[in-house]
Amino acid sequence: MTVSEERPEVASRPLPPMDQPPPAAEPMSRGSFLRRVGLGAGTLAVVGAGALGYRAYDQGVLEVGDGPAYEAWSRWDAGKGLLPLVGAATLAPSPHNAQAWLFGVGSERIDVFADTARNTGAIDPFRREMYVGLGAALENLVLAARAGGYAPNVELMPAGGEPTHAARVSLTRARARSSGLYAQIPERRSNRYPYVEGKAVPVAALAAMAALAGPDTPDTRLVWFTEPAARARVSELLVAATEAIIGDPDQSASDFAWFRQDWDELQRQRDGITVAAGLPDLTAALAKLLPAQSQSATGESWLKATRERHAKTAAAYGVIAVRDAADNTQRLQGGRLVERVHLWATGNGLALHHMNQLTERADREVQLGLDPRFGDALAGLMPSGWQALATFRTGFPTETPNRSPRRPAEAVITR
Amino acid sequence: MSATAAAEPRPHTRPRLVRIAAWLGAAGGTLGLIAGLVELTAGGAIRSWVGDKNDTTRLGLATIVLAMIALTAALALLTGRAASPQQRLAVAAGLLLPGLICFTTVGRLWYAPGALLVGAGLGVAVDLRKETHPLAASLERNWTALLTVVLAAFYVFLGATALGLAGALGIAGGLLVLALLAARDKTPTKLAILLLLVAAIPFAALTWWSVATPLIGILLIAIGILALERHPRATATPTAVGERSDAHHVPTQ
Repeated sequence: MTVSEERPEVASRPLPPMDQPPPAAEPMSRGSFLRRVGLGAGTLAVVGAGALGYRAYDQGVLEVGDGPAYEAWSRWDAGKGLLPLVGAATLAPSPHNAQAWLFGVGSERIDVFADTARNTGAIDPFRREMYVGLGAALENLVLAARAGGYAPNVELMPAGGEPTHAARVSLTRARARSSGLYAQIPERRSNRYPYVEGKAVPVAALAAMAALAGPDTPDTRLVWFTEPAARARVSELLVAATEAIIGDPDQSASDFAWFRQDWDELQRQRDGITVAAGLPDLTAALAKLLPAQSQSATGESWLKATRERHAKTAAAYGVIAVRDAADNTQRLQGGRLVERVHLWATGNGLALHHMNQLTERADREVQLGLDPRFGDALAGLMPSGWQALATFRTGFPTETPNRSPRRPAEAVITR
Repeated sequence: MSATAAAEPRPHTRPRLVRIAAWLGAAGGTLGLIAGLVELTAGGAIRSWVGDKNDTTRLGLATIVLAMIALTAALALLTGRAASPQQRLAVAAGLLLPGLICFTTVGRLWYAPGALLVGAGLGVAVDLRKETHPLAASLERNWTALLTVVLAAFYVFLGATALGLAGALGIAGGLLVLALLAARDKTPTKLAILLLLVAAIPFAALTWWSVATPLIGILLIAIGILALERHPRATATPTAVGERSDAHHVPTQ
């Protein structure tokens, strides 16, 4: 029986007077029973869909790359005075997007400091990556200074014995000199997606990126691994290093600490690696909707991505090499070079992804006094007299990555 | 409104409880509106007062919309426009739901308006306790429409959080479904179903990867068609929901 068939019967049934007991309940017809079962099932489905919809809202599934954590990308050059220079610096890449930087802004200079409270723990036991990140921020700051009409004079590690004072940039007024690299600052992304397979990076592009090492980065060079055998060797080492990291409880915990799975936490902290980074849209949405992953599950996902997407589709690996990877000045130079390379790649349609598992594991071996499996392997890859500082893969992108969360300039200015 | 419900008209004099609830609701809705405006305009500067919310703009707007719904419900009660049990049930929902939801949108600023609205909603609900039979019958008849309203509200809600064209289509789609339900007496069934598809499909298709919107979209279409198909047209049933002619069938009191 349909609803419309039932209605006249219900409508014509007189209601009992209020002072009389209600009549005995009529037996429910089969049709009425089935209809109620259907309504109940529909209600349950709506409640379930509603819960899923709320979860989607709560985890920002539909607002990827939006909200306060991403405002720095659109407002970085909006401040007054020297603030846009700091804004440019904050858009630089950093290990695990920890953004371990602070800036002291004076009337004619900006000091760059390491924020050691934001170090990545056992992942970076000797702070190698932290200084590389500071060097990348410094490069953006210098490019923005030139574009803003300043002639920057950079002094690395100016305080000698004070390791947190990474650089002092003295600024004098000059003619504005905007550059192609400067224009790419707000466009640059770390691209964790697969790259186009079988499409090599042109030799001219590799040479142009290698030539970005200049007089202001005298102790650096870029070493390429483009031949299949060389790439396969680096890929194999990267996968093995990733396995070793997730098998090391302290390194795994330090890695996991910067993994942002909760949308509110991400918007509040404005740092770290997001759960959706490098995943296809559907997988990213599912990862957000499902309960947060455990440390071990996150590690396994990272290993799988490294093996099946990152290493498998790298068109070339680049290693920033320095004479002494333990020297903070050379680390800062290396950071400047890696950011130049990244900006150049962005401007020329190439994707780039920082992959530092090898150096992370090599440093960990030194810290724990382990057999130098990865340290020796890295040394074997480098030209004589050079040490590996930072590694990345590059190639042609298959997807446009989303922006990563950033703290605004105002939040990283100190004294 | 059904004939059954029409047989039990409300007396013109409203119970004291309902009058108090109406005033509480009006006060709560007004204060809620102010809370939403404060969050929208100054939320970024007083985050601790607005629940440490990151996105005070969208949540401020959501608070304003929900407070306006609550205020409209309270005014309907105050002016006596909500006379039937079904209408007063809708008023109770219009007071209670915004009253509860906004505790999650505007933090401490909602304590006073929320308490007033929840109190008002409970007052109206308590007043309905003697009219459960006609309400239950009416709810059962209109259950698919109610579920469709809930799903359409989710479309508006998720559309408001989505970006760009997809977000706009979500909001527009949800509002179109609500309009279709409101006008289902006057809209031919086939046209209504066609418009339902037009309302539901684009948002779900553009955000297919989100899992949530396609699922809600499928339910919206499935249940929405039932709600639109099974509703008796005004021409066929003089006592359909929304018809005021039922007053002629009852003796005046």
